Amino acid sequence: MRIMRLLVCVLPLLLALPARGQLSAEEVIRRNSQGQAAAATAQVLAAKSQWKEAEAKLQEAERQCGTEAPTQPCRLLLTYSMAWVAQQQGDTDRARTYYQRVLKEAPSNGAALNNLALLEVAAGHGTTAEALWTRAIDGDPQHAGQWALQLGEYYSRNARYSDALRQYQVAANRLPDAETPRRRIVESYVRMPDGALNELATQAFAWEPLFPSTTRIAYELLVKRGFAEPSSDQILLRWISLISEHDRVTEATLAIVPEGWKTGPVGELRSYLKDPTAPGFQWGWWRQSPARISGTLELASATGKQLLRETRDATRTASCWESALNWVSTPDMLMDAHNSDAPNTGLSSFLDLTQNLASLYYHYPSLDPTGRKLDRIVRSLFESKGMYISRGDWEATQNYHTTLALIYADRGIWNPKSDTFYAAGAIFQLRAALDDANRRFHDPQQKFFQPLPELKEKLAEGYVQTNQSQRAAAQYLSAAAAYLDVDALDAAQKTLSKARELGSSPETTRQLTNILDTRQKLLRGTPVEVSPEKTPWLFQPAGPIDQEFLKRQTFKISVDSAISRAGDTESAQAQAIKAYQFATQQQVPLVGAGDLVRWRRLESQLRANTNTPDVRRHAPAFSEAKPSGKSLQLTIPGHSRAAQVELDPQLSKKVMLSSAPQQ
Amino acid sequence: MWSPVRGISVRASRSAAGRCLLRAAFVCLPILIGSLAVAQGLQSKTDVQVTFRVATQRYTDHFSADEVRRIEQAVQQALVDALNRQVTFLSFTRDDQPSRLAVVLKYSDFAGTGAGARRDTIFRIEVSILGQVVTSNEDWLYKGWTQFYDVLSTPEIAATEIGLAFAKLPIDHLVGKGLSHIPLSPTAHLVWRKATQDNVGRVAAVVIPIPASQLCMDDGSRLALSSQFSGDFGQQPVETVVVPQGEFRPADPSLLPQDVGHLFGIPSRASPDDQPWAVLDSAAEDKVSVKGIFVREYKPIDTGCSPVIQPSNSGLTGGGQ
Repeated sequence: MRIMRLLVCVLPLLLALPARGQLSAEEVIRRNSQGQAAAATAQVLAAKSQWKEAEAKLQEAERQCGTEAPTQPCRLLLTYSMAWVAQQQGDTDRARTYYQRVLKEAPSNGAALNNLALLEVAAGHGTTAEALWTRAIDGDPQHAGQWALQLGEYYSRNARYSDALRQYQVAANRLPDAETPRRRIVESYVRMPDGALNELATQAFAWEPLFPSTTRIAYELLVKRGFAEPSSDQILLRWISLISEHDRVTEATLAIVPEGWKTGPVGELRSYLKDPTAPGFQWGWWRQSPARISGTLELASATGKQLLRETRDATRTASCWESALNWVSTPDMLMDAHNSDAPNTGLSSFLDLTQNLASLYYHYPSLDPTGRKLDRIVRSLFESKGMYISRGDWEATQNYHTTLALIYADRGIWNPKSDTFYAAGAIFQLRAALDDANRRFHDPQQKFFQPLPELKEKLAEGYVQTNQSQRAAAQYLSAAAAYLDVDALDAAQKTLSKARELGSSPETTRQLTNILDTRQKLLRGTPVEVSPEKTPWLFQPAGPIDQEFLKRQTFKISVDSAISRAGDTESAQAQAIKAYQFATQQQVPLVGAGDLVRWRRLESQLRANTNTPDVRRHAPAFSEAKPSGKSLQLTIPGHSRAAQVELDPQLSKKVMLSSAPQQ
Repeated sequence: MWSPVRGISVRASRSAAGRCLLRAAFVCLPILIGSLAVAQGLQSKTDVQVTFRVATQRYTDHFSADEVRRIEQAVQQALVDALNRQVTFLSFTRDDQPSRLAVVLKYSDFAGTGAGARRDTIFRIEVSILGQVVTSNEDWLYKGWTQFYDVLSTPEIAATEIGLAFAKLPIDHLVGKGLSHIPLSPTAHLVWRKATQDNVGRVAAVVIPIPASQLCMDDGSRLALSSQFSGDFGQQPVETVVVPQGEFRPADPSLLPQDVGHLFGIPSRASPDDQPWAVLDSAAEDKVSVKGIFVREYKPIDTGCSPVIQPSNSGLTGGGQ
């Protein structure tokens, strides 16, 4: 924005040049650049306390800047630098004069207003400082969060905590990724012993995913103060869950709880922590809602893992987890814990516990010599799974089916044994897990694409093991396509070979082979022109190769090709523009780190060729939340839901407006 | 944050031999500034070598030795960059240094494994100083067993994917379980205040000879001062908690010009931190020697380390802030 504003100011002046005796555009650029270099040098000298040298450098550069209108940016920067150097030396009067000079020509420059405000505070002119920061917040909206934070600091130092809190709230709203303003909000509440804490409680819940450290401080403040509002139960619950997730809950953790606050639930926690392996431990308060049960499962899961790590005592660990699983006696106990807007952490803990306990039995057969304990676990999984199926919670059922599939597959139970339930086999569970994933992709609320090549290949393996070669061949093709989605070309090749050996459909096999060959050529640096004539296999959806898969492959091939043509600028640019337009118009979901790398390279190539600065270079590569601007969906391992890659609006506008040059 | 030292008068002592009485603006109590640390000059942040190694069979089976090496190098760089961005009280590098943070991608031991071959993958961290391991930990989870599309492809993609885990480092964990063992500074200046009634010195502040603006340490951080004093039974170590306060800016900057702008902290005299301080306070000033300052808890400022905006960030350069 600043650059744009400067350009708007300077451009007309540049265009009006050079008239008689006036500076040429090149000369203006040269002088402004010289000014920047001098300011940078002065900053370095000042850091070494070489004040005189710094000032001399700035004065000399100012003379070279000249007094012509187009060199105003140069003069402004140097004046600002002189103010800053004076401020560093504690020379308030000189610094003030220089800053005021800057503000005369750039009245809404937030940095100058801020620094001047700091000077005024030091000089005891608090009201003036307050007005300057307020002016900065209003006049420099792009950095308003930073100036609001500074005004908040000023209020805080003057014990005006309510005013400080208001400014910190502004800062937090304007700086959504910053933790500091949120920490300040908590500190403000700490300093207001009588302040109402309702608002803090609400905010803390919202901060938890992004700022766990500050959230924990907030929860602990609420606990210490004996927060008694209706959400206090939730505070205790989230506090314990948050610590379980990132640290370890011990009896010492509970030392901050004031006497008389939540005596029932806290007392139960203390009893549990005394011996987490005690069989038959029963919760009272913690059993009264699905969310609370989830909290106890998270606690038990973390405690058991810690126990195993520290003592290597599998028997005690099994006892801890068995006891915890017994708390979920009926399938609906976890049900309402699942808020559809957030991942079901309670269910994850339950399944995590189940899987870990199954694994423990597998590695220590003496813990379950007859296999009855594992049978009981499996039965409990089946029972609770049904409830999620009836609710259509496909994220939950996918987790269940995957857990069961792995338990069966690792024991070689592909089909149900003759005396068991029809679903008691890995093949049924794998198919169900893949069906769930497919439902999530086609659910308009989620549209979450998951390639899942390993599960697909495992299912193919199951078909082979049970002599269903035709199904196995088709499933290997499906796995090959998924491997292409995740850029695992070697694995795609291997699964294609297996499909071929089993007599897979020649058309589909050929089409996938063509795509694989093209992508392997690209890996070797051979560019490809994507068109119905040159790459027909990318334009013919048929059978298991659907339009969505072809879109994803077209994106990968187009970008890889544009990058491989980097030496041939015009043609590379044409292909890059086409790839970008294709991805954004078709909303192609990005899959894994491979596509993230592609997207970054594509943007970088387009930026270089369109002279677009990278304003998002410090922004996170992706975000969990849906950004306000346009974005592409990203599927990455480790995330149970789709992430978003935000588009750079400036670049996007340029690319979408440009038509790809003829090749 | 920058919290000027105000409301005090100070007596500065450069050495046991030479002391001068100095008065600052708001004046109240006499303070003795003991230059107990060895070095007086500006010190930079401690350099820490970062290494990264892949030790998971899944990776070593899939990639050749050369490819694994390339992944390790790329991830090492990504980790160095992420640490330098997010943990600003140390300086991280790939080069050899006496202090080292070794991160290993490995399977967790049995805990957290899934059935069969699929297992939790973790980052093991190990801190060593001069070749001696001082701490190690395996609590940083990279991926749980429930991940089913983390298929390995090219070394570049694998390295990028691992690097994504560093977008938001688990700072509390990394500092608490690893980096808190690396000295922030081997030296510190103790500022002694003389109590009026019994004329006994008491530490009023601790100045760390590194600019606060480089350390970016916010309220809520905690330092540990490791020192030693000559007691009745020989050298006795004592560790005390220090609460960082931001830039050292005495009311009269000419008092200790070489320390102005450095990070300073005050003793945490809240129970139970006050007990070790009572031990230190009881020692004579000239019998205490600083062995190092460590960061025990780190709360970074992520909105800019100094409230005064430098010219390069003024928005007047054409480069934005």
